Amino acid sequence: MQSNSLILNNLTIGYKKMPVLSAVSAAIEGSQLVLLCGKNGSGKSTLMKSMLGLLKPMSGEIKINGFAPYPMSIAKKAALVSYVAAKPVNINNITVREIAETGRAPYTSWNHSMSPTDNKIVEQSLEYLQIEHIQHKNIDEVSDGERQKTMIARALAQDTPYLLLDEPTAFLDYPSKTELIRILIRLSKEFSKTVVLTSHDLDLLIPVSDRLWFCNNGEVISGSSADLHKNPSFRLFYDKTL
Amino acid sequence: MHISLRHSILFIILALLLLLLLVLDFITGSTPLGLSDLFSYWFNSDALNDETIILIRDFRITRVVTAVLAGAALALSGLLMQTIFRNPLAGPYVLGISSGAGFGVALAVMGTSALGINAFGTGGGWPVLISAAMGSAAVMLVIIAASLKMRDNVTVLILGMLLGAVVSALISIIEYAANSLSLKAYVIWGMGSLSALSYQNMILLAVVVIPVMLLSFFAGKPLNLFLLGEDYAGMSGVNTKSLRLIVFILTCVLAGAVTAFCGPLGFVGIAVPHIARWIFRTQNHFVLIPAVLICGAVFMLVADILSQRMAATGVLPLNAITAITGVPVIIYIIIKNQKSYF
Repeated sequence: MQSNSLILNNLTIGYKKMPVLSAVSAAIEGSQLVLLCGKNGSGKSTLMKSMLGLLKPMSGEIKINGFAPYPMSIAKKAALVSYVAAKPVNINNITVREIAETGRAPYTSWNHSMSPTDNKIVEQSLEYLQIEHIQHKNIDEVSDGERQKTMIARALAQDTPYLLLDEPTAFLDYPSKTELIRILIRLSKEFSKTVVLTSHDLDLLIPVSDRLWFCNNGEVISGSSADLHKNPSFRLFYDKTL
Repeated sequence: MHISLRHSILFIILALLLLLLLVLDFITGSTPLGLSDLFSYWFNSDALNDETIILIRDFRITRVVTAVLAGAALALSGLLMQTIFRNPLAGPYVLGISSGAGFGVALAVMGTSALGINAFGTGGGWPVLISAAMGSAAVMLVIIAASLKMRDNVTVLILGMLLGAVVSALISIIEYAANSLSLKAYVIWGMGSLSALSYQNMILLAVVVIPVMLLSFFAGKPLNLFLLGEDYAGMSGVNTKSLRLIVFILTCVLAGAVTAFCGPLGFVGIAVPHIARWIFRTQNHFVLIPAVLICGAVFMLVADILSQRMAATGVLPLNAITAITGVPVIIYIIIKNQKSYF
């Protein structure tokens, strides 16, 4: 299996000719847990959207395993990147398992008939997230933490080398946050996934992230947490003195 | 895709109910007809006189089949809109799509008479149909554009209602300029009726809506993914732009065609998908699409039977019946669904 490589090369992104982040260069090789941090409005979400291929770069390039996410065929992207949003899905009359099964959508035919392999992968994903006991419950009957775990089980069932999460911990209580982060660490190690997430839960995530991408004043500072603690603007951002 | 035993049983029960209502609606009307007349019509038409054959074919069968087609088509268009807008209150009537179709009809029926061109009349086949579909498409385009900009469901709904009001205002201007004959035709059309169609127009309606119904099954999988939200759908292999466009066309054809022929039948499109979800307890479109088709037909047949039987003489406006039966469902949804979608 090819090892993962995510490269941002002299990338400028933004909206309507107004750059949010300029001349960004950074690279990740292999499966890592990457934390995208920065103040609100610093460009985290813009960068996330660009990596998801939802936004066209103004200049420069993004290469995910050698391919630009924009423009990329929708089917190819679905096999490369899975995604978890901040807001937990909350609809009635749909079960945890049915949502996890939608992760197999890129591989099933037009009527979404699940092969034995598809079912096995979904079951393994539910077990891995330890939510198999609630799989037949409706999604609006479980806790926020379980709801977000369902979305991660879904992403796991999608079986992609990359997992991108937009503030996955935002709506969770403290124990659910720590549990979710433990799961993400294990996913990057045990499944050789590159996990990129945005979050404001810095105390929890900075110590466990392999790499930090710090968005600040239109640029991205990339490095390990030790590297970034030497950076004055990062120290100002992540100032823990009261 | 697998259909559970529970769902199979529900489908069988609904199918039997549909059959029962078909018969009941057939024998309902100003001239008494029995089941035996229907059997004679099919198997032994020589035994019937010409008037009875015309009554059975051009009035009863046409009306009953129209009820089934109109109810199923409106319910399906409501389901598609609710999923695409991810809004439990979306429907052809609430979002102003029916008003748009009404505007198209008003232009075709009264606009032409105001200009001194020949009037089409409301049962008027292709020109009225196309005009109605274009009217609904115009409103739907604005709603789609707005829903891309505004993620807030309520804002889109309010916009739909305001658009509906503007369109109604435009219609009243056309009414002012129209001659009395076409005005009367339009007003009667506005009350909603399943009896205004000729047998040929009923066939035309069937030819337009049945292919759309069949096509919608192919959208089942992307629609299921769309429930999770546009971002999730887009990252799971769904071309969300194409899906929106396809659903946009399908709903305009469904709502436009029915409105052109039967008038604005409010609240069927919004209420029936909720009834179907409530009965089947699912969000799976492979179950929901056939479910709303049958439930829509059942709903419309009940409304038609009520409108035929409740008045001492003549027929009550169908529009009034669908509103009176549909609105309580919507009120229930609003009260119940304060925290989750659908």
